[in-house]
Amino acid sequence: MKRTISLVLLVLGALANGLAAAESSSLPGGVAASVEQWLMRGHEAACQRAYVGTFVVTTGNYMSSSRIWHAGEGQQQMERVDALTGPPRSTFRHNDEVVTFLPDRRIVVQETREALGLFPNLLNRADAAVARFYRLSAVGQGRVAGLEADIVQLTPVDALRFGYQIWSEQKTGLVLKLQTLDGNGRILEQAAFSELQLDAPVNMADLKASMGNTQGYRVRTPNLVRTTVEQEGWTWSASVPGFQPLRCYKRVQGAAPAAGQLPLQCIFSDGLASVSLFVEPFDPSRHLRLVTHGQQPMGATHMRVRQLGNWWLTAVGEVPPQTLTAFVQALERKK
Amino acid sequence: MSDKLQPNAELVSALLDGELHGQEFVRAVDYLGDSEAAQADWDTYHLVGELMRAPSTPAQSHDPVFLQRLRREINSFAIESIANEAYGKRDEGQNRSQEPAANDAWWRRVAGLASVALVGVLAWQGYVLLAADGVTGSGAQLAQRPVQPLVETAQLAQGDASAVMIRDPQLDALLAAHRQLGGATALQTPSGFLRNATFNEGGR
Repeated sequence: MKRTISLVLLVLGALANGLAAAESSSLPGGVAASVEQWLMRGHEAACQRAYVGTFVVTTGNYMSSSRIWHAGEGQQQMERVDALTGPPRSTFRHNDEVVTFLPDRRIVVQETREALGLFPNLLNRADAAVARFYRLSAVGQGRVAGLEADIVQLTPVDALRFGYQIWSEQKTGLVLKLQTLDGNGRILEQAAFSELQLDAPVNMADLKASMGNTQGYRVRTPNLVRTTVEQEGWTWSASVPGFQPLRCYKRVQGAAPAAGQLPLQCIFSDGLASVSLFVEPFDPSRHLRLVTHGQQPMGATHMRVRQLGNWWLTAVGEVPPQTLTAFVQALERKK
Repeated sequence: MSDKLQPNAELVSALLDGELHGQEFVRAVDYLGDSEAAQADWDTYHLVGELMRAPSTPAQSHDPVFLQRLRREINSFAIESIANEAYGKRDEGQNRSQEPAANDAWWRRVAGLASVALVGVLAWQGYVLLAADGVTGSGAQLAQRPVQPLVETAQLAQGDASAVMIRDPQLDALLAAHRQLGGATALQTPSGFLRNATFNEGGR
């Protein structure tokens, strides 16, 4: 079984390498660019702009929306996201520092999200998977939130990842709308501005002051310890084509992991899609009932679980389920 | 236990007394579903049992024509198709329903047993009650009775289909952790981060 999986992954990887490579596309406006250049344009557009808008995320049958304030001055990026649906929640971001206010519970969560700082460095790496595993093609033009947009598609070269259709504002390149598509072109999830005011008067200092005002809130900081798969006694029997390991964390509370906590989380990305692999001690009373629950997708987000001896593996990510199966099958306990 | 050791009539008797388990149970139900003689034995044993338990109740055998009509009514409700219809609201369920289900044979046996049991019990009790009330053979009313469990099955199946959308809190915790630390994408700024910050975990 393991051999078959390895063989399938090997073939898929070889196929992807052979087909893709850093293929240039003719982007809207007649500008030839690689996938990386096009993605960088969108990334930089957000870095240099101030805007206010309403953002809507549709996942399966569920819809969430939020009010966004963004201010970008080169290396300094500030953002405020107020949830308009569900329980009140305000999320502030200053570069990779994220603070989430939960007014109902008078709790504020402070954390550093290193993943936010990974780009564009990951795109600039020689072995960047994005260009090898996705093809960029122009689709046409459209309008989103009253703004003219170029539409492009990022099509995966194998069945281990989803495709994306992206609307970017014609003048700035700012991403206005993003659809995640399955292999049949079906929309699994979409996120878009329903209203957007570019170059709005957003004051970075005001946002920063609000982010730091935690008076009356209990401050919580997740206790994460950086580690590696090998340090935790695990090894890989096969790699999943295109997905590179980014970080591994242990979630520690006191001397021992508390019940229900997540002891180990490893994050992988192919540049566009990401996968988290969780490893925790197997507990029949908690885990066995998750087998059926875990099979249900939530928009583009899938989940696969596996019991491995005394351990329970859970893979979560915005990828097809077979990719997650490959992850949970590939992890082995060191002998 | 082989057929030799367990003659067919005794098999039916043992089934009625709840003495059969595992393969013997399955075999007996199969036999009961296929054999008219076995069904006649089943009816006779019920009649005998009823007489022994309640000697004062007027014992009457059932009307075979009525029973045949009742069986036809029961068979017109396809248990499997109802279950599949409810399950089919999920994509994965649809896919699975096209594959041979591991419990197909089990369902057929349960359906067979249920229909025979319903025919036996309902026909007997209903007929006696109707006779006692002086109501003449309104088979249609009786024929509606077995619908109830099937409707309940459909409702349960629908309940299951909707229940799977209510995710387990542990899974939500994993999803939240993935969105917090994962979500590593070149589309992170702005779409990825905004998507994760906007997404309402509680709304699911």
